[in-house]
Amino acid sequence: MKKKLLSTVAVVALVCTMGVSGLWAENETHLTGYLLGSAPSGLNDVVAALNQKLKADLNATMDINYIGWNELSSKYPLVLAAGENIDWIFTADWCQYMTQAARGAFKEITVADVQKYMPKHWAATPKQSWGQTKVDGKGYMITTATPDRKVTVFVIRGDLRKKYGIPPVTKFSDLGPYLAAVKKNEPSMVPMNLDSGFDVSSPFGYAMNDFAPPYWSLQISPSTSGFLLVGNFEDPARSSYSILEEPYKAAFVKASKLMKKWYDLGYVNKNPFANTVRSLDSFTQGKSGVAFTNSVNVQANLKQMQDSGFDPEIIPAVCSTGHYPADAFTNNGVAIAASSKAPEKTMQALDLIMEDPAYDYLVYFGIEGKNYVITKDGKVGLPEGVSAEQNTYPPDAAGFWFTNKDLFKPLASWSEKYLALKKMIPSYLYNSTFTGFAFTPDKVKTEVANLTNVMTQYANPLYIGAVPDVDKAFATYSQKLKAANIDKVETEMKAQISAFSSAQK
Amino acid sequence: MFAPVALYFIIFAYVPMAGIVVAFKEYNYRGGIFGSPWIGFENFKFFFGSGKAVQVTVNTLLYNVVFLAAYSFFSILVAILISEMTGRWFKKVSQTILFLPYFISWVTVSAFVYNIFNFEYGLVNTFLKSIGSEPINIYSNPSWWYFILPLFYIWKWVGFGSVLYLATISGIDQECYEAATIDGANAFQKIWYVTLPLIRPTIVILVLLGVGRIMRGEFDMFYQLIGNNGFLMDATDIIDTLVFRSLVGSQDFGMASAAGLYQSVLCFVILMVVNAFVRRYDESQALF
Repeated sequence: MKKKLLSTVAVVALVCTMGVSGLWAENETHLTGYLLGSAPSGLNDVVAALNQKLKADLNATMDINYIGWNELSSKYPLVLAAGENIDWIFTADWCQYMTQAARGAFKEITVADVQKYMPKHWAATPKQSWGQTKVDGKGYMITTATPDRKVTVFVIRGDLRKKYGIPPVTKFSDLGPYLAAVKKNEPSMVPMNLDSGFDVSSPFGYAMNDFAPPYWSLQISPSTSGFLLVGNFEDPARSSYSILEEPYKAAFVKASKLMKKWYDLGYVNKNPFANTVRSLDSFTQGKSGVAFTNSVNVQANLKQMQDSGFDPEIIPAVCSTGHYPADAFTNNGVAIAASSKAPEKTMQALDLIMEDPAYDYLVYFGIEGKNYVITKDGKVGLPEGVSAEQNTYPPDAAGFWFTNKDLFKPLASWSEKYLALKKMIPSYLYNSTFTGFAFTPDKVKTEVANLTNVMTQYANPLYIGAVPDVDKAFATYSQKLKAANIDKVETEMKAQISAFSSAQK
Repeated sequence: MFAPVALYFIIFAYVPMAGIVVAFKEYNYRGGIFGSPWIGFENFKFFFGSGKAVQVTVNTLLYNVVFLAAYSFFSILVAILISEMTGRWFKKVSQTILFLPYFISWVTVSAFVYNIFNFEYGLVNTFLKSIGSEPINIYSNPSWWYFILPLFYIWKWVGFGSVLYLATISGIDQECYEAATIDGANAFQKIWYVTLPLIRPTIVILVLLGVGRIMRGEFDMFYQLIGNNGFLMDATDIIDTLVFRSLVGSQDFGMASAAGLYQSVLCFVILMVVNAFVRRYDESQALF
């Protein structure tokens, strides 16, 4: 009898606590967000601090999940298609924004909503940004207020370059002597240690920059790297071509021949397709002679490179005209999932994260005193006794790339050279005539699927130069592209570009 | 007794089968599977127009025939060897070691394989260099993979397969063996004339079940070990990897389902044919 009573009491107690906690949770809104990359080890502490602030300001809490780079193309749409437990997600023109928006995965963002729920962000963002997010006349993205002023770069070891008496390098295609010196004298390093995701087409693209007229590249599907249908981004008439047509064909073959020369000399690792470590990481660990990245992305590793005694020389890889297409506002942004139950609250929370300095520093740099300090000369530096390698929340690494970066003070790790580069960047940037153009593949889905497949099989070996004969391999590649009906996709692209052009007038 | 089994199959096999319609639809999120518009055979154009349909179908079939044959042969061999072992401790240890790979995912195996075979610092090439030979470039040469793939397939699955056969072998009446001993049979004769005939029904059933999946490639294995390696693709591309590679970016459920339906139909036809042959030869051992 006594036992029974006891268990009844226990059950009643349990039910009561559940009821109370249920009530408690009802008042508080819980938001779930998705970012790209992998969580820094210090994320939990930052989220705890973030939730403390959100709870006080909005009575909301948030948890943050990550979609890894290697599973991006497959997991990103699945997270949205599943439609469960997701309020906001990182998005960008290079990260499936158009496709997912056209498919109804995001909630529409109206200007009225932004003015009402994101007043700070509305004030901080130039008005033209809202015009760039339109897909079929409706906007679905909250873009960053500060598009990155960045160019693609490659990084080499200045210390090694000087040691082996190689003159300064200014162009990617002039890198041969440096690679030869690394190959000859540094047996523990691979001159170009490429990975299967990010790097496979990078050096090839850099070589294309040197050889081709300025080009904009249409990304027909998220899992391909471009170099298929291209346009001249400095041409007001928006002329466009396929890589089977001159002048881009010659540049493609020339770039591939340069890569083949380097591949055959052993400057490139033999199996990039099976390697998953990015060259930027191998470089930072002293295992690669070159790193492929952009001038913003490199910051996270800069301090660690300097700590290891490297002298990173960051060289811009711009087009043959010396220009680089400036990032559109849509290059970094955030979208609200169509299935979100609390879109207003999500917008309010994002307004704080993107534009309130206290929030912005927290998500971008971590916890003050633990992950960063403001130095006496007004720069963002590391706390005493914490090295870049030990920092559990390195700047930029957490993936909050859409926040307002103008709110930040300069970083202490920016070397003289980096600052000089940063000063130079605006002179490279060029307002591409293709900014805001979005290709909708609906009419040519079958062809796009087949082209994607042909590119993976036949273009990847050409990109790294791992073919016995470039001319023959290119002939096979063009024959396969024609069989997959590249002409139809090209015609469709040209039609959409001319429709875009007439809409711009 | 039949009710729970029937319920399981109705819920998890027959009801979802209605989703087949998506292969004939222009899928969008708003309409879902049943609300999206019909487009006839449009979704099938991608697979049959890819110029690779025949090649990947043949690859899938041949790899699976080799896998099924090798898997059955080695599972039976291992099961018989284990059943003949007398040392209890040795028997358990070898069984455990054989079974262990079953629990290792292909993602992990791909890391092993990369570290064994990669050109710059792989185990094989480090060894070859140490004895003064030229290193070999395994990741660019398809012919190696005709051996590596079945090898890893067997390594991973044979522990599991042998358990199925071992269970049958231990269920054989010991009197059969005693009678054989009295008749003067040696160990090999006992295996050939007693064990093998008595496990034949199990062999037939397991092979038939394997045949039912013959057009379903071992996607995890091919995707993890080969990935997007263009050099190996003609030799190692199967239906599943082709479909994944072409559609992973566009997430077109309609086109992917069309390819899936094609596989199912082929499986169905092959299974019916093989089963008909078995029935003609020995009706009691056919699946139905």
